[in-house]
Amino acid sequence: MKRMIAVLALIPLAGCSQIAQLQPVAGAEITAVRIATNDVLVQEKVPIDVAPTCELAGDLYVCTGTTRTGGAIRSEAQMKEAFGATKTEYGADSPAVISLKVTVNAREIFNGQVQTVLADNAQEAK
Amino acid sequence: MGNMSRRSFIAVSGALAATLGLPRSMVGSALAAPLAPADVPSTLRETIRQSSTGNRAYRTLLTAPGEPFIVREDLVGSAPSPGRAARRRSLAYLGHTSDIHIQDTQSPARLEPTNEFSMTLLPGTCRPQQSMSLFVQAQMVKAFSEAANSPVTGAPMAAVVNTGDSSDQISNMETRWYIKVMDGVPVMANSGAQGEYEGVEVWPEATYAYHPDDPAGDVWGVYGFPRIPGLMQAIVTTEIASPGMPAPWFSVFGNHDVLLNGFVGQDDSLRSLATGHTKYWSFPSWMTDQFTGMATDTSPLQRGLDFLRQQFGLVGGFKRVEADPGRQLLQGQDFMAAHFEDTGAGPGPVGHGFTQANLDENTTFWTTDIGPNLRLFGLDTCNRLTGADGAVPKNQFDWLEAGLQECVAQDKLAIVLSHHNSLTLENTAESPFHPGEPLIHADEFIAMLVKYPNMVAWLNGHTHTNTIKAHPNADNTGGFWEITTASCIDYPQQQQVVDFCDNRDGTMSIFAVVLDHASPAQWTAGDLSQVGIATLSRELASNDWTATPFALLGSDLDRNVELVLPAPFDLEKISDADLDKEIMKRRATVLKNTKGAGA
Repeated sequence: MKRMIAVLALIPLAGCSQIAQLQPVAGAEITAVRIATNDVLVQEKVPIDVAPTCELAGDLYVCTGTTRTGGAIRSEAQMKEAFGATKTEYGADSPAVISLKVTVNAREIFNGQVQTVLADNAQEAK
Repeated sequence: MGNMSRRSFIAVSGALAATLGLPRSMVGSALAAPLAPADVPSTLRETIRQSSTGNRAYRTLLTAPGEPFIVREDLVGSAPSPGRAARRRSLAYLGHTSDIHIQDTQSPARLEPTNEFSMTLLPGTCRPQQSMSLFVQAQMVKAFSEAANSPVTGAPMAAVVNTGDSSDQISNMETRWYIKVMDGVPVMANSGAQGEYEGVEVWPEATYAYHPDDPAGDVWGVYGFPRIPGLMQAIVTTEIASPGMPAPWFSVFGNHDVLLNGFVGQDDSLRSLATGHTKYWSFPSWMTDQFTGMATDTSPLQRGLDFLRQQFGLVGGFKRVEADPGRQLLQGQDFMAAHFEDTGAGPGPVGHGFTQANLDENTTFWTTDIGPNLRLFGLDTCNRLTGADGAVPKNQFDWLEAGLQECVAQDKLAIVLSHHNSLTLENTAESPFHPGEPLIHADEFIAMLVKYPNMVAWLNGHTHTNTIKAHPNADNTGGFWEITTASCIDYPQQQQVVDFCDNRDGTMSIFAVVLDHASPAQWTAGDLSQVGIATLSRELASNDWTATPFALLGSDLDRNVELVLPAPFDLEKISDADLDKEIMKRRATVLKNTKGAGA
């Protein structure tokens, strides 16, 4: 219980500092970026040889992969605002909107928000 | 069974019928049928999506078209042969369940009060659908039972693997409930008071919780969560039926099976709280009481005053509930030992992967063979000190590497099972009880796995997100697939089946198919049946604005996929006749476990 209390005692910090969430599981953001990148590629019918893998480079998430013809797939994503509710393109509130740009052979095929892609994927066809 | 003589077939089917106690004619005719892709309910046939009507308002779910397979070629240098579909044969067809998160939400030992301070600080501590987990698990077991034969090859399910987080709050009661549902034993989602729900969902003061009887005063009602009178009462008074898993099932530890809420340890006061009659709904009250208990003045007088303050409600922020000794927290070997208890039903095996040696030696990882050509390695990647994420202790790492070497020498395919995945093997908290025992993290772990071509797949969970990744070897001539399934608790409440196939052209294909639980997409108002409550759980989960439900679906490349990789050895060494015998055994086992429905 003492260990738990030590953790729980951090909770009041959330209201007055940069702590938005005691995130006990790693990788949620980078996963969202990877998923959105894949969804854009499938939506745009890009023939994928090696699906993008993602890593954090400075303050950017960068995902790279290749097409079946050897072309370069690249996406870049960045949190627009560190914390606090922000409006997404599809109208919902999100604690952190992530911008996303996807290119294939340097040609831009998507420029928008991760949350929009995820919502489109999870909702009925419009 | 075209590769066996008639005499062999009669002998084998007769022996199986006798062993399983089934009529010889039933077994014979079922086993004689040729394998063909089974038309089973899965997301190949139909998917579930959210209505796009409105933006911030509560949305319902509806059915959407099925998702066909996407072929992933990440690990092969060239496009796979177009003729492989006609040639392929199944080597093993598995079910994969994970992150079931069975919850006794009436237990006092829960972190719900933290939501009074912040709804998103500790995600998953007060989900709107939290009290319905057993209903979802039962309908998921039904989905596995219906998918007892592969939608790709028709192969019978050889085993079901469960990659952890079976309980939610290190509870003995939750653990036993999950095992009963896996085994097909009826269970009631109730503890404490009989026929009455005691928890934050019926306490108006806990405005952070969803109150189905009247959500007008809580934060969920504002968002449009529906009013469903009688739901909480139905939850604790409905006997939940499960068909039981169709094949032998195997389990590994998840972080929620070893730490409270998956990331904090336990002590005497927490253990007392779990089995006591004081359930807090207010965070300040809970903390005040705990800090008082930790204060320097621990005299009998002070303790007596504290007791009186509580008894006369001077502190507030809690309610008295019916104490239940069954809510005791898991300690020591409790979790493993529960897997050895006989529920009187179920497909087995005794221990579900855990062995007597595990109990004797206090180890928590195991290996077992699924037929002569496939070996499972069940790891325990959980940290018993702190933190939700995990690592591979060096002793397990060495044990696994030796096991993979043996698989190469013996021409066996190897599949690794663990709770944590490659994103979440980064916990650095070394146990003071095992000083000097290094923890291996994702990069080093993967670098070891890719050295062994027989290591074809790593099945795991933890992030509640459908995720499939290729891990190429050093010279890009192969590698393995990492397959992470979503959970039963959070949207989309999906699991998967996986068919390992020999394409008979020097490559293998691993087919992953996502399953929804066996409940309709749309909830019918007033339906408080077992199926109705499971349906409702999915709908509520899809609207959980404290989580990120849309992301957990994963991408198209993470769901229904054919994952191609080079065959690790000459798979023709596995003769058709031997494989036929194995398939007959598995078919007979499925037949028995599904009471004939899986024929």
